[in-house]
Amino acid sequence: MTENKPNRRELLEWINVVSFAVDDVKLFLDTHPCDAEALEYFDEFKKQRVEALKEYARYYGPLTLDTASTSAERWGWINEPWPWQEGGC
Amino acid sequence: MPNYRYNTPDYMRRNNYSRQTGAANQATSCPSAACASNSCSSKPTRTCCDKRNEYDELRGMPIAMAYVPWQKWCSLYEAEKGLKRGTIFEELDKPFKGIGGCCR
Repeated sequence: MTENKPNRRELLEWINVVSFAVDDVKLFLDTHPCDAEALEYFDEFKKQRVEALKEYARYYGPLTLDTASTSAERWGWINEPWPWQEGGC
Repeated sequence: MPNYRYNTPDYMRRNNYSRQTGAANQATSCPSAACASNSCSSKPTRTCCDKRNEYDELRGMPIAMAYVPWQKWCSLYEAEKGLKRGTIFEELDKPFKGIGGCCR
């Protein structure tokens, strides 16, 4: 399992990239709600964002509540560094 | 609808001209701010305002209205570049250079 572990910083950078793309196309769609190409772009990058967030959560813990798991016995959210700690941001 | 940003008429650069030629010219050259506001009196700025209208590409259109051309889905950056530039649309990548909207 660990041999495929993604680089934390690179994965975080990728999450920032796809999140920004989704956010920007979202603004475009607000004024062009029927643009097929924009809708396709949104779907693709939203999918990549969700996958990247899941991947990050699997190895390094959840970044957002969407990927926070309650299945474990312990609330894992607090295991991650806080924003003011090294590696937290 | 003319593209105002890329086709800046000379009168719009008058502020720069005034700055370069000094305060002595200010009596004859009209600061565009005064022209744009209602404070434009019949003298001495009257000539300037008349002259301004003569070259105004938007002449005849209602004042105080803003016009935003419709954006089309084209010229997209790669997602990585989009994050760096602050937009995924090359057309909207217009960094502020502090030169009054002129393209140089």
